[in-house]
Amino acid sequence: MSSNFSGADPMATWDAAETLTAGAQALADAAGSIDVESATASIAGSQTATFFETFDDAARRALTDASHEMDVMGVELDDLAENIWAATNTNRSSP
Amino acid sequence: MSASPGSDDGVEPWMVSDPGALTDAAADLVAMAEVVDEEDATVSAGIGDAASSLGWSGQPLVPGMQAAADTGSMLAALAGDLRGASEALTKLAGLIDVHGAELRRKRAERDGVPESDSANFHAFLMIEDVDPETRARLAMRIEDLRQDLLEADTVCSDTLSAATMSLDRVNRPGIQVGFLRSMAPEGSWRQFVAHDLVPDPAVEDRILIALHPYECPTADDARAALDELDAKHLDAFLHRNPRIAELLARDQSPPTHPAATPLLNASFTGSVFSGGKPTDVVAVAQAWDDLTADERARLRAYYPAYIGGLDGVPPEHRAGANQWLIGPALTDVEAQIGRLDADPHHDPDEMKELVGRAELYRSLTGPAETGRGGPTIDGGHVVLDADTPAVLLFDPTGDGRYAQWHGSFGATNVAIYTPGTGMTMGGNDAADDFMRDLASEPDTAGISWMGVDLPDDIPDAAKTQHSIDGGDALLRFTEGLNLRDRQVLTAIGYSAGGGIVGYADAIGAKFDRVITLAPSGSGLEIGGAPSEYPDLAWDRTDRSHVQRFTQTVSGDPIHIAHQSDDLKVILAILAPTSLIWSHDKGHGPDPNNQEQVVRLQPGRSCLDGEPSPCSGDSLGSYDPHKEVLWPESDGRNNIIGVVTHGDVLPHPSRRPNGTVEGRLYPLEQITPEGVILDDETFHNIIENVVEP
Repeated sequence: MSSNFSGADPMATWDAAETLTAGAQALADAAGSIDVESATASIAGSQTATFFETFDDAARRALTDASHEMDVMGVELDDLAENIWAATNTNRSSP
Repeated sequence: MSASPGSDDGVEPWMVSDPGALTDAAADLVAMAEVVDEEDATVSAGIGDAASSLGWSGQPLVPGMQAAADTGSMLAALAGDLRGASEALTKLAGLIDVHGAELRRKRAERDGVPESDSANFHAFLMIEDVDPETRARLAMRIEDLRQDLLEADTVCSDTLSAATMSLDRVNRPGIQVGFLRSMAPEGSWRQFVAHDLVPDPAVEDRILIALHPYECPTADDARAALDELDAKHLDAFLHRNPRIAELLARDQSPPTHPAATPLLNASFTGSVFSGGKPTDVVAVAQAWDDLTADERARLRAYYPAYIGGLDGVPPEHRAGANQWLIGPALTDVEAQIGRLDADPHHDPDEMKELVGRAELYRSLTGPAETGRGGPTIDGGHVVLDADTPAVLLFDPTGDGRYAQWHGSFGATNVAIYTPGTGMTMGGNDAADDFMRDLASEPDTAGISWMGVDLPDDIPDAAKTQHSIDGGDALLRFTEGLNLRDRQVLTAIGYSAGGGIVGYADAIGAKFDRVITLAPSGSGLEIGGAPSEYPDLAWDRTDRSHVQRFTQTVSGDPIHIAHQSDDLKVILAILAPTSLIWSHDKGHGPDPNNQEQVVRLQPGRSCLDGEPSPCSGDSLGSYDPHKEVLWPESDGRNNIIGVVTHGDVLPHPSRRPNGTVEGRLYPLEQITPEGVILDDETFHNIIENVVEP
């Protein structure tokens, strides 16, 4: 990564990293929040029951992927913050 | 004529069911969409803030504006799909609620039974009781309702199908590069590109297309494609694309990438012509140092299994490589547990080992329990995050080979612990706990090391070869740690691990201190080792400063292992077919009687954290062999004293006249012959004894 961080604010970057990490967790929690089994059992035999299971799989995967992406971005921003901190506070350890 | 009501009218059970669960699911989808909306807005603001902190002068959208703006965000599309599905389900549930109720009534009228019994297909009724005209009218109405429900079902399933296809925009396998970009406020992403936080999207897209699963790419294909990516983006790219990371992690073949050539050359320098000396480890360390930071980053990512296990590569870099191996190993072990679980006749020991491994692997994917104070940076590359467990060796094959560094890489006191017989990767948690505890001491780090296949059981433990193979491996591993001059390395060996540490010491490992705990032997006089620990290291450098300690709890049967002839008799009784050991010489003489070794007193257990000398029960009443590792005891405090250059409790047999039993002595005042007292200490002791 570039070491040209003049004027950059590591605390804001850390806050942004935390925002993404928290968002990732919220999406991961949401991914498993629907009781699909009960819903499809109640309408067993309908076309909707079959398609709802497929939809739920896709939605769950999309939320998990989104969560993963945000988590990785959070880690990257955290690393960036560490670098900014190291570049601007060479004699101090990160908080 | 009699008939069972409702059996031939085409009304299916779902049409007259309770739609409550469907309504709940629809409401849950809306709640889910709200979470997605909220995160879309907050993440957009978060990315905007991060970009602002790097100099971006735009404004992140506030949630209200975000809702109104058509940003094309993939999360917004996802929320839309969730709401669409919810709406379709709600409509169907509403129709089932209304039409279902009417269907039940009409069928009851048609069949001439109370509504509450209309669903009972076993009711016996005379259909002739209802006049034919009424029955025909009711049948038509039932058919209308049924058709409405079938149509609603089709509409609902079509909507769900369309929403599922829409979600595929997010779920395109292996191609997710645009996801976060779509959430970033306009212009803010350029700040990340400008700071090299993210790569050129076009390059990343090309790589993902080349390595699409449909192409069935090999690990070498992946490396060739990834060569196009700047090395600084490799780790982030692989974190975003675990499928490609796994492809590289599972490849065990020797490196063929040009950047690895110096390492391969170095690794061959010692294997044939060095007479067993680890000259190749030194050469690898030098070759690694000569690479550029970009080359090192590329090799860590490209060949994690090779780099993570290569002695001579610095520990931080080994750990950086090994972190890629944990995820695939966890996937494998969970699948193995699933298969075993399905077999009612599975081996419980095998299951216990697998469960232990799964717990270990999961712990290695979480944050480290002992902080290292900061990340390891190499030329702008984050080699290892501050809180990623530092795994220095990770090979799950067989009983497994494994090592983990606990604490700071820069700690002055570094201990490395080799456990004993029966230890496997799934049962090594006690060793990790031991080293984690040790790393909680000031300026101290601990390495749990299981770098060889340790003996399976007591008969197996008698084989001399275990100490020789283990000692060779330990010497190579510690040579490769490349510790700084000011760092002090203490080797700790327990039971069979004691013989391993002893042999490594006997062939010239660069330890500063050694403490063996209930050791299987001294490691001397076996495998060509001398009868005394040499003052010169394997490379002829001076190591006359090495201090050696040992402690064994009274009553420990390990002393049998020091007498190879007795051991053979016992083994002949226990396992008469095991004549293979007849040429084994055990693990060297008893270290307690070795003139270069200070014998310590394991002493007593400590009460409520009292300092040594402790006043609890004497160790040995439960299991003398294991109690030498007892956490709250004089024995444990002795280990801490040796590692941290603190105080220890000498064994009474090494206590000269004039010194006091049950008293701690600083490490520098202890020699193999006994305690050396300066005048001041001597007078203090005498005064304390005479006039307490």
